[in-house]
Amino acid sequence: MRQMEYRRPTDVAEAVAVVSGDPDAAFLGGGSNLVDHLRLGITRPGALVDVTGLPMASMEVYDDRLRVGANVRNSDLAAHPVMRSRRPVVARALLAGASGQIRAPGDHLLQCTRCVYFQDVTTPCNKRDPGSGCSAAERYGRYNAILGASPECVAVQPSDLAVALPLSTRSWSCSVRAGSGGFRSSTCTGCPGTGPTRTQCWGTAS
Amino acid sequence: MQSAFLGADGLQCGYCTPGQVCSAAGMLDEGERGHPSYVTEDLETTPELTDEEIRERMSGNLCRCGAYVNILAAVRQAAATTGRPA
Repeated sequence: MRQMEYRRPTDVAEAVAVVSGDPDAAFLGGGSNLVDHLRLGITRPGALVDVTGLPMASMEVYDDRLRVGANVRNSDLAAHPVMRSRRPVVARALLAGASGQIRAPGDHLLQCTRCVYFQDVTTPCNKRDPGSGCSAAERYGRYNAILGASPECVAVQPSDLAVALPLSTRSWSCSVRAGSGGFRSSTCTGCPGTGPTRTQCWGTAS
Repeated sequence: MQSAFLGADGLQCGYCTPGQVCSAAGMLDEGERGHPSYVTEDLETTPELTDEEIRERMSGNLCRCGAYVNILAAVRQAAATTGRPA
């Protein structure tokens, strides 16, 4: 059995510091994506940094924007009055995206592709193993990219929320508050191009 | 909720029952707070927990014995006896 360290930091800065300083560490949220990948042998982190206890479950409206904490549950976000009245496509996507028992927007947004070849460690995959080739480009891939693909990767972002967000709003971003140094942001979307691991998602902190 | 499952015979083998009971309790709590679901037609109203709403909100829990009809009855009964919207 492979040994794995389990850590439960008490504040966001500590969680970010641990994962930033250890390339072998991964954030653990709800686990519905990461735990599947552990079972399938797709990823083998040396340390899991559990962020579910961190104080990130608040929603704040400010300057015509809504800031959603990473631990806010999908159902609570979908039920927020602003989402129901002004962003119904996002609320609908959240409600359609999972059964009621699987709910955390951070996890949902940052989940990895469900390309079958990415999930099958016996086949080549540039996203999982850079330079090994793309199995999906030539084989079964009816749910993979039609637009925006590249010879290196045809995987798509599987999150319903990630599709609805740019439909509903001109501007959105994911950000990490790293200590007192403000926010580091990324948009979480983009075509794979020649760097299919670029949008890799097992909890890198940058 | 546990009594309602017993009263409505909402189980056969019992393997899924703890999860069903937990989901039902959580679902009623969300219902009480007016949360919408995938089958809620108008997002700006407070949905009533119709049979269709209960089925959707319990859909993440499978029962291989197929006790769904009685599980639905148990949840409906628990919703009524706790004074929650049903």
